[in-house]
Amino acid sequence: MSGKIKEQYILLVPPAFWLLVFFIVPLFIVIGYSLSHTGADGAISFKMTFEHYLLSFRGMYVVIFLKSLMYAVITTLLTLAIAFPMAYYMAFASSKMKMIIMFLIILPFWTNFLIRMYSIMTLLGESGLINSALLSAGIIDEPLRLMNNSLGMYIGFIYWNLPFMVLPIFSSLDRMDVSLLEASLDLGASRSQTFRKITFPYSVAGLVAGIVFTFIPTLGNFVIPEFLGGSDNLMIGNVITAQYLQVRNWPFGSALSTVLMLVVMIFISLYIRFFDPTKSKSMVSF
Amino acid sequence: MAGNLARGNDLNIGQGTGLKIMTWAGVIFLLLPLIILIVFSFNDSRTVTHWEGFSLRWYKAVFLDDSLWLSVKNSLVIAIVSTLVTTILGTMCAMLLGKYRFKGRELFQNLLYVPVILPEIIFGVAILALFMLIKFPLGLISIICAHITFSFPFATLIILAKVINLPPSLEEASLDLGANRWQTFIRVILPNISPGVVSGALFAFTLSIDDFIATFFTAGVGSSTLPLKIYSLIKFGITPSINAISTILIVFTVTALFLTDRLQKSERIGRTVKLTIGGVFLAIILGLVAAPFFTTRGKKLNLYNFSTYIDESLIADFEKQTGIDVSLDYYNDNEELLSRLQMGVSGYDLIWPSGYMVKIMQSRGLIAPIDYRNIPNYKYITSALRKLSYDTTGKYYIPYAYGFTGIVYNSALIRDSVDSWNALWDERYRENILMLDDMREVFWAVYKMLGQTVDDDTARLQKALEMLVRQKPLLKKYESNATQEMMLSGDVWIAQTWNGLAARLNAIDPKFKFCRPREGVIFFVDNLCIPSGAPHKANAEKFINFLLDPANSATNMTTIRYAMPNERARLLLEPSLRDNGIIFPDISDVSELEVMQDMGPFNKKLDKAWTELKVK
Repeated sequence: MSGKIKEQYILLVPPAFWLLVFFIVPLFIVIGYSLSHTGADGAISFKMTFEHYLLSFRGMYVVIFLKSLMYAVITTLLTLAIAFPMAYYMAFASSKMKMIIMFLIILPFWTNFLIRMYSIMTLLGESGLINSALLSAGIIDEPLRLMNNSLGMYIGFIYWNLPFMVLPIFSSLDRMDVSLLEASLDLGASRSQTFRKITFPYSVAGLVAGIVFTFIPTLGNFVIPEFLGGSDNLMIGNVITAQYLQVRNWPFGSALSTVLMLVVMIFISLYIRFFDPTKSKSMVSF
Repeated sequence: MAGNLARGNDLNIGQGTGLKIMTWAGVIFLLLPLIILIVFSFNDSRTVTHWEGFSLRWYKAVFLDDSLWLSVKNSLVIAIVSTLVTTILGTMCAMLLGKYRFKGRELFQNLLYVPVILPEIIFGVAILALFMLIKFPLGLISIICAHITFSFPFATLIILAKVINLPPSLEEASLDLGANRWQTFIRVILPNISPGVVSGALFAFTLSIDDFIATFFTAGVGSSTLPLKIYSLIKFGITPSINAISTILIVFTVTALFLTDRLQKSERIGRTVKLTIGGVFLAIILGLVAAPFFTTRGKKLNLYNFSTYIDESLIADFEKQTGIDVSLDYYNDNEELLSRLQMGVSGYDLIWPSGYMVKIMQSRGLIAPIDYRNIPNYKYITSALRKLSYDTTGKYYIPYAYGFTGIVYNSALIRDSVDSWNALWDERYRENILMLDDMREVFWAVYKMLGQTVDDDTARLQKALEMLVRQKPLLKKYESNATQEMMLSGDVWIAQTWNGLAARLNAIDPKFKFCRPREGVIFFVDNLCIPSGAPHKANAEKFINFLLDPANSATNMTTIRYAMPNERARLLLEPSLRDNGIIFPDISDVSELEVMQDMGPFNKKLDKAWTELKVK
């Protein structure tokens, strides 16, 4: 069918062209930078060199990479622990309640991220609202240190990621057919068995998507460590940003970016290999 | 779909009290910062931390701030246009991936995921590099292209979820019954996937309106968006007017969503009315988009300055006097200014670089000599600052304002008088000390403390690093933006900061005292420069002359609270300001005036030491 083939190309060409011009070409330019030489004053000369990659694998930067990975892993686990019950509750709530909670979860997105971070700072500070409330209630004698350390950073990361974890898990649980649960319970399975054998497997697709959407952006974030972290909460994103905006060493920043990009790509390929959302469908080939 | 049953309730699955509490606790956690910012937008005080009574003054301030509204308008135009394109591209892409299997499909899909999760800074730099290479002018269009690129993969994934649930038989039936492909798409497919398309579009809109990083890299003359504006305001002390504008946006969005929902559901409102409302919206949007193309008048002047570094009422006066249309954009630091100009953002007529940056820009041919014959008021400029080390010819710059970095402290908490950099190493203030988050400032302070000059010497750098490693456990953090808030709230007792900021704190509460450490300080001088190829050079010179007029200069100093090298203007200030030792440091001994220099290749070593310090 010639009409069929035509439609595929009409659908393929504009998005692919856009992605090529505005995404793939720019990434190759960055890779090009990473192999260039940095001159005095940060001028870039295109003499091929691997010095920036060699530097990237020096002890200090490896430590920062590993630290960033650790922050991202812990953040992901904590966010998951908070998000799963929320998604679970939402999936079984009445459809009106679903809409309300969904709306409330999305609402913060319409306020600028930086402003929300400032708001969180007024909450967590030593003379902030939480500490003042606890102090005046006599629960604590000295203000708790809730930010400018790793704890503050985790609070910020969880706040930032929570909606991205809740929504995908919710949407996969929401697709589940409730009669399966009825059947399971009727046939004598306990509630925990039903959860393990039916509910949980249904949530896996959303769970994995949520993990990817939380883990990888956290890995490259640099704003939250700056706002809520302390004097030693440095992440790889901060180092990269500094190369572009303060040190004027674009090639080194590009080399670090390329390494980070490779790490991210590995995660994505694994994700797609095992959890391709479209894999099970039969499709037209061309 | 089974999912829409009000289900589970007869089974009581997932409705336990524990779950309920956890869910609502999570929702409250997400909303709490919003509630706080709404409450504090009505606070009758400059600070955003302490409640001092109800007031609408910040709303008034917002409505009077033209540049804020311009940035809101830019944000809306960018978000609307990029959402439209994103939705179309995303739908195409979702249809493709949902229906067809083809060679390279997996690769294509992999690529699609990359923009979704690639750290945005990498994307920002990459797309900027592209625009530089093809010499594409930065502005609204470049920002829109960037936003489409990172949001259309998101939209695709959301729409794809609906497309893959679409039974192929539906499409086949439509085609069999004689509809053509386009009709099938419009009448059959689109209505079925429309919830996905709508959420994809909403998501794209949200991403665009809130984006900071990619916008930061792709913005040009006159295209500042709300997040960019907010960022530059935060840098110089956040005021509740930001809370006010956020509150307005929240109310606006909620109302819009509510009305849309009502309109969609309502049976009584006819199709014509709905179409009319839609049409009106579309007309407003088109008007907003098209407006910039019609408002360009003949006489223009484009300024590019730090935020809150000029009294904006002076700009209005200048416009009135000369009929020249002035636009003002902001940058946050010298490095940003440099990268902007190097990237070929052209169109600015007047910039405010610091001394060390003047030298770099001159050596790269980014600034042009100034014609002093057109600036008679140059005669008021203190001669001591006319030919400083960064441009000994004095042809490329006119000193605008100067100041230095010292120590601000809360004398209610620190009883001893502070007179040395050593105070920042004092054990008694453990975890209540703040250093600037700026490698030059931090290292320079140590060099001064050790009585050394800053030069390219690795051994000295190592020694300075050791000092800083010793200091680190005593610090609350390295911080440049929130110093004012943290001092006001009492979270920090003592901080390394600029004298102008200290003067502002001192004006709020005299318990905040400032010290110029006895070991010496490093000065900064910010300057007026005209970029090479400035399109309205004559107007820029006219404006410089206007700024140097003693009366105007005095007005300007009163607002920004930094000293300007204009003796006549200083005499016009009110006494409390004129004799303020914080704002007007003694610079009579010029030989001692050490101005911050650029270190060239030493920067790299410095950065390594700085990173090492932060990792330890």
